[in-house]
Amino acid sequence: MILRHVFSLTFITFLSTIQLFAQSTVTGTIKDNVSNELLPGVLVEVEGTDQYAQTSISGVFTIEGLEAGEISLLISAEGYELIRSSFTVKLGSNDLGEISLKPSFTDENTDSEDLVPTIMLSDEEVESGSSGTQTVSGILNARRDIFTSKVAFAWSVARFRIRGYDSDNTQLYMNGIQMNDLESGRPTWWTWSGLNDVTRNRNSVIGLGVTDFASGDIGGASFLDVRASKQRKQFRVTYTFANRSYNHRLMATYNTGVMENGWAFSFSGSYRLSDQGPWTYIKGATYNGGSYFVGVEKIINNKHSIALNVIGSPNVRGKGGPAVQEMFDLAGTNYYNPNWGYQTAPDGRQLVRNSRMTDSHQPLFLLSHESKINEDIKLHSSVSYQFGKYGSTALDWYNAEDPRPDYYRKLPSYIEDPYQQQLATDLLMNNESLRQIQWDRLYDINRNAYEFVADPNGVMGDTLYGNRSRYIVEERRYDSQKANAAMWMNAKVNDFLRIDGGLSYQFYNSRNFKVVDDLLGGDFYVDINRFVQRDSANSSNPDVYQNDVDNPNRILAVGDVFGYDYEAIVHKARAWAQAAFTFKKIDFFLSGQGEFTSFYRKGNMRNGLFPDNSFGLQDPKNFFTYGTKAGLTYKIDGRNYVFANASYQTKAPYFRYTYISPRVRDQIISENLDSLISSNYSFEAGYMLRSPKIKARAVAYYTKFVNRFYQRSFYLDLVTTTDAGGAFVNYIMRGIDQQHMGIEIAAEYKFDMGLSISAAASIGEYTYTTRPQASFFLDNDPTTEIDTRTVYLKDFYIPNTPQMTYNIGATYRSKKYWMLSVNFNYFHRSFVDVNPDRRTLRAVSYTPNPDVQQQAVEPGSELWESILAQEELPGRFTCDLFFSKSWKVDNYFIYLNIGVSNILNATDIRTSGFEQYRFDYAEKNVDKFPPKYYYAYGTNFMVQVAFRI
Amino acid sequence: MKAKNVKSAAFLLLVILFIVSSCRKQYDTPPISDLPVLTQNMTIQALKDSLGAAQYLAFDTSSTFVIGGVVVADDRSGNFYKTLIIQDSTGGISIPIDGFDLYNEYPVGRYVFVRMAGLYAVRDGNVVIVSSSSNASESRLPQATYRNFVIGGSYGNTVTPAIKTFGSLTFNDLNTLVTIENVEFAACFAGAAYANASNPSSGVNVDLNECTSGGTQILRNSDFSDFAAQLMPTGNGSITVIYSSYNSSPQLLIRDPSDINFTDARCVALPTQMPIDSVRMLFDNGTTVGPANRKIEGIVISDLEYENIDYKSIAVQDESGRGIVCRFLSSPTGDINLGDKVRVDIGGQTLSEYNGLLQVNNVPNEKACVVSSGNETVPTIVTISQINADIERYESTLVTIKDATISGGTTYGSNFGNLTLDDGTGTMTLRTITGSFPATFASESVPTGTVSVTGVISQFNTTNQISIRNTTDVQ
Repeated sequence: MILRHVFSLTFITFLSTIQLFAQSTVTGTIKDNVSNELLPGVLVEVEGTDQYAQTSISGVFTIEGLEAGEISLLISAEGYELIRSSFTVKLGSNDLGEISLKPSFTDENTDSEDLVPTIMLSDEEVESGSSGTQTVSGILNARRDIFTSKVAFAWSVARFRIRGYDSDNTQLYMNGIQMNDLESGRPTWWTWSGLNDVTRNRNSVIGLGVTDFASGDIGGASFLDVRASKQRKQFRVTYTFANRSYNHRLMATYNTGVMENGWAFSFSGSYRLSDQGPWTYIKGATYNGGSYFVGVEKIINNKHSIALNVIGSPNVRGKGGPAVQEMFDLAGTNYYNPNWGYQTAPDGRQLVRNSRMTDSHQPLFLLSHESKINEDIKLHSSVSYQFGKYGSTALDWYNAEDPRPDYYRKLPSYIEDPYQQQLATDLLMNNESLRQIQWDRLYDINRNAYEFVADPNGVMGDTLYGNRSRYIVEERRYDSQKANAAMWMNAKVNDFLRIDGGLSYQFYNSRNFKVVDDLLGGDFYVDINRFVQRDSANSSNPDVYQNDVDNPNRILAVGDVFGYDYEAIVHKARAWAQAAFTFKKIDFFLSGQGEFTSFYRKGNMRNGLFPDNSFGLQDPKNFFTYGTKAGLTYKIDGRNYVFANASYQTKAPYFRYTYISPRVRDQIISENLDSLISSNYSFEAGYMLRSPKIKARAVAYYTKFVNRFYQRSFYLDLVTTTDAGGAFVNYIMRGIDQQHMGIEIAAEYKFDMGLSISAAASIGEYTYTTRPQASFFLDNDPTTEIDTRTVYLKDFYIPNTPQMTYNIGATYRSKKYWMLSVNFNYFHRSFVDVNPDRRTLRAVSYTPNPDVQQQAVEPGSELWESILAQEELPGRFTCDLFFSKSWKVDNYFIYLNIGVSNILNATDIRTSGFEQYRFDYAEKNVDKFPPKYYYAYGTNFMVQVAFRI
Repeated sequence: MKAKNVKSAAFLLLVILFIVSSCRKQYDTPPISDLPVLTQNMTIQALKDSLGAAQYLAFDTSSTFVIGGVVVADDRSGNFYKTLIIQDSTGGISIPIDGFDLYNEYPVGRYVFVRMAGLYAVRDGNVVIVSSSSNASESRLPQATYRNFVIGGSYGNTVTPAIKTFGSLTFNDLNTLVTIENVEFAACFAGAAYANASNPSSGVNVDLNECTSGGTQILRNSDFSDFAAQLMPTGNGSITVIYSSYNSSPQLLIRDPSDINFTDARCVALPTQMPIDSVRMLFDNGTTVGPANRKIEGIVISDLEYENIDYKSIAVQDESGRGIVCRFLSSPTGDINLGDKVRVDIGGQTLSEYNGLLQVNNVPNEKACVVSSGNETVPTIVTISQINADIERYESTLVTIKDATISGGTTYGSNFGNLTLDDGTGTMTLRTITGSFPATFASESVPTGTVSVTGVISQFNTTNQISIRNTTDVQ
């Protein structure tokens, strides 16, 4: 006998089978009605009783001990609309079949990317691995969990990082292909930026929980399924107006869904623009981004489907930059951007030109195959290829004054004479153009830079006359090719055991070089290293200052490669497996993985300082690492759960940090490769409450990172122990241990009339626990390790993420298709990134090895504190509002979303800061090179109208 | 179906539009703007006259005075640092600016206007500078403001240097471009490097000799100039310089080596080197005059710092293995140090014995120059009997006497500084200067037991002596 029952927008079928017992059981399978994913952990309750069940990993629930008769079932899951329906239980087994849950407000949700003021990282930060806002999106899965939705929408603005981890501790997969950059470990979100409509099918785990697509990392793992069959059938056009990183966005998506012939197509594209008009926070931070998405899938039969995706996001953006507070004050705004300047156009208009532009386009081709070997075993395979350009421009100069407007010698605070200081202050306060790059002057200088070059292009005796540009715009390129293959299997062995496992291989090649982008009115530039040339000790050997000693004194035109040119090549192979057990009272899992990493450098230019180890294919560095993870959940009852998870893993170093100066030579931090492998162990335990009215989660975690290292290149003001004087150095700290611990709490209570309130808190402490050893090399001299210093970093805080955050919010969902939510947030305990060399003996002493008290700064004195203390960024309160409404007109839907963040218009929220690496060792004046900061936007909004068929 | 086609086409168009619009645009070059011309209402001489003898003259912030001139020296080669020198028809003035590579905007030949409002004219020794404060040591116009005062005008102006002699240079010529003819570098400097490029600290003072007058002026070369490692020409000819003054002493500065045109034959020939061995043989027990155009070149083995040698003398040993004392007209302490390689012109100098010690006597200090520093002379290991047997052979050389004992006093200065050194083969005097200007270690204790002594051998009439440089010579 077949019965058909309709629940709200979805339907279920159930089969009544043979009557065996006096009592009845009800079973069913619950899935997402958009992605068709099976949903674990959904609570199914019999209203008015204590009987309930929760779905297993495969989405199945069973409620036993029911009596035949009319009951009302409540099916609830976070992020989905509640289903309440009554039906008649027959005696014996009742299989309700598949029940689809509709995501609540999925279509209206915007990505956190849209909410986060995008502050672009500088190249140095990108190269050195400082974490940015991108991290947040790594764990984004806003509709599944209260805590994660708070993280994504309410806290991302403060650069909140879950558990204080760097982004490389979270794995990100697209159709099974890992999207973390192999050179630095960061997830490459920009690949699909602007494609919000077709990247919604996400499945994420925070922390050490179990997933079925990977063994995951300590920060968790996210899976994006972009196959065309998983895209909701629709035609949709969305326009967004905002005063955030862009002002306008137009997005169009057309998905066919699976058609009768088994094909599915999905197309999406968007365009984002910052018009630099009145709704602009950061002047010069232009945004010009397109994106496209094509998905084709053929469901061949019940067993096989094959999908192809082509994804790309060409975009050109102007960067904002951090600045010292003095510049913000002179500019009268905390959104001062030192990167741009006015340039006069031929018709006399004053154009805003940004010196730091990024230009990238890295299309991704992704082919995926899914095969259901039988009812219980699924095998997925994916291959991908991604290639393209990532360029970032900057000013370069030769024998000329530093053109950056915020150079410390140009600031009023550098001037001692009171009249001149006041004059400088007045000039900078009253004339915007003086606070910015003087493009016209750079042109004037280049046009009058007439000189000759001896032996140009290596032709001895030849001379070249012309205007040799003093200033140029260079474009630093990080062009990459990535090829990936991955295969994974999910096998249901029996009712209580599932086995998952996979293999993957990744190849990565990033070619790093510079090209001349604009000669700024000059005739040519010459490919030599000005820093080496300036060092008069090298004046006897002209070869040493050649960037390309095989082409000495190369004369450069626009588009020519110069400076350095090398490839970073990485191979990574991984195998993983896990077993997940589900019993009535207990779930547990065990997983393990092994990984082989091999990387090497290939030099395409023979550097004059390092002719013997800069050119050609160089020795591979090989690492074997492994990880293991286990977890246990105890179900006290269907509503109350306690769980505990633990992991241990070793990690290979990343290419980018392993080479001392990869641009010019093949030299790694240590020839003892095993010493470069770091490890971490992590433990979490928590309690979960799931009931229709109230949902809560509390987790305590403890993570220890062991033997990490750090590599930066910068100008160090005091290099040797004997000699005053600075130099550009490669600074390496080894033996860094970190401890991250804290608790995460989130709770939500639903009132009957559509109102719900929620609260969340993340209270942590992330600190360094060792005193690392710093050693450094002169950038221009690989042979000499100049000095070794102990860095007194113990108990300093992991910087630039609030270690404590709190949120309380209320949401009202009207039956008339509108909703309003308000969130209040408090962030604090965020610290600036410190200059390690300011925490050494040299920084607090007047002589290299002080013997007596007088030779050192007095411990505990004000000066001592000012040198050593780590600045805490002030705690901040913010308030956000979100409203949405939808209308149905004939067969069309119209959606309106309005989001307003930081309603109180706090424009003085420092989201992050870092100390400069320069330090006044002689005078100990910490204000000579003060920290630089980033600020969060003041009140910002977005208004979005979508039209859907 | 048709609607679908329209949708697809519209979609395709949109996507193409998206991709095309997100390309980076190239910037047009800005137009060349007209160069400013300010009204100049004060000459450089008038500015100096207004200052008069005062230390400084402040220009009110409402002052409308503008001076102007052509840049005659910039910082292109690095011989001038953070300074521009401008000159008008009445004179020249220096403008210190806290900026690098100023020549990019203010190259030699550019006309420059200086708005004096808020600035000072300051006397720095004999020269007058345009300053941002009344204090000459904090004179540089700050990087943040200097363009407010110093305004660049037209390019490519020329200034013809005045032809001058050393004798005709006056204070009015300070900070102007002048050409001096018939000059050459003093023997010590001709053919040597302009400055110390390998270990730069500040600069080198080079003697420039004028043939007609026989006079000398200092040419100042910066260690940081890009020509510091080049060699100075050896010939004779004309030089174009900025006439300057440092701590009230006149000095000359070139912009770069193209300012020197020394292609003619020298008026004073360069001396040739004579081994000290040969010099000592010239001496005929009276007063011998050193032969013309001869120099000795050796390494200083004595140390004036510890004052255990006559305060005007140095002992020099050369590759011939022989040594000699040079006694100067005034003390070279601080100028010539232990380990310096020195060149001493002995032409016309007196070669005489003083109480039995042969020396080149009464050497004018400018006849000697330091070629390099930090050289080491390895002492000869000898016995006292060998020394006593051939004192002239060892006189003024560095030796080490091993396995010796010291007697005759407890401190180096005991017994009027005359202790006895005995190595078993013979005895000699271990000499330490005492009296009003004793050696710095004269009151220190003498070690007991067997020691090895390194020092410079000398004679005092018939007494053979060894003089240590400092107490580390006794081990």
